[in-house]
Amino acid sequence: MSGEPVFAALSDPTRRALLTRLADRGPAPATQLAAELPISRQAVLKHLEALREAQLVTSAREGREVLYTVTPEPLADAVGWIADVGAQWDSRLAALQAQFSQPRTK
Amino acid sequence: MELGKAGRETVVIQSVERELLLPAAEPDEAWDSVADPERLGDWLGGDVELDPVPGGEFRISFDNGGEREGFVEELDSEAHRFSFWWRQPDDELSTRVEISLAEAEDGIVVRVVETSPMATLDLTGIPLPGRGAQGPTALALAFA
Repeated sequence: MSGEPVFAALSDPTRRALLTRLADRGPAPATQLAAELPISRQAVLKHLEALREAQLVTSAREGREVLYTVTPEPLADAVGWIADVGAQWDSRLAALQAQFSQPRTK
Repeated sequence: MELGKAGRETVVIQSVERELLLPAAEPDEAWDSVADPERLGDWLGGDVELDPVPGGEFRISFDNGGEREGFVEELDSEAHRFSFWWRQPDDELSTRVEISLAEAEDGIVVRVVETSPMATLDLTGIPLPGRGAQGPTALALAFA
């Protein structure tokens, strides 16, 4: 399913905390994020990389720092997941309805 | 960004819900369509194998190719509720499906809910990126 990488990236509480922080208070460098969370800068970088791979954040160099920013695009994947899964159930339930709308023997 | 509000909105993002009314259907007859693997497979579009106990294996090979595997969470013949988890073999995460029946005045209502693991976000009130003009509107459309 198309939303999968997003869901996987969000399955980790630290990554959710990072995302919350970035969504709430805007772009920040890893050093600042590490100062605000009870984990090392190394660990923060690892999690940011996972979020970046899922395209939940982007990174851009600004002066001597790399700033991380939340991106809205992956939500399109989540919407796509809903559309896909919804269409699948529509078609399955149509098949169920057809079963019940015609006489049949058990 | 309001955390609580965002948290509630994420419920919509990762859940798909459908209802179907089967007019004049008998409860037991409708339940057979869910609990009998062969009849379940007929409308899911594949061959279903399942072990009808909590934790029991659930597997479906779709007629049009592809398969899902997972396990039974609960198959309650009295409450007329069947829940299971499934995933494609190369997927990391499973989704949860609950199929339940309810008697209505004019027949039996079949309700299906498929939920992705993102539902955990709702518990923690995490805001998702991109809530804004596009977010909820697009979601509402997709959900409708």
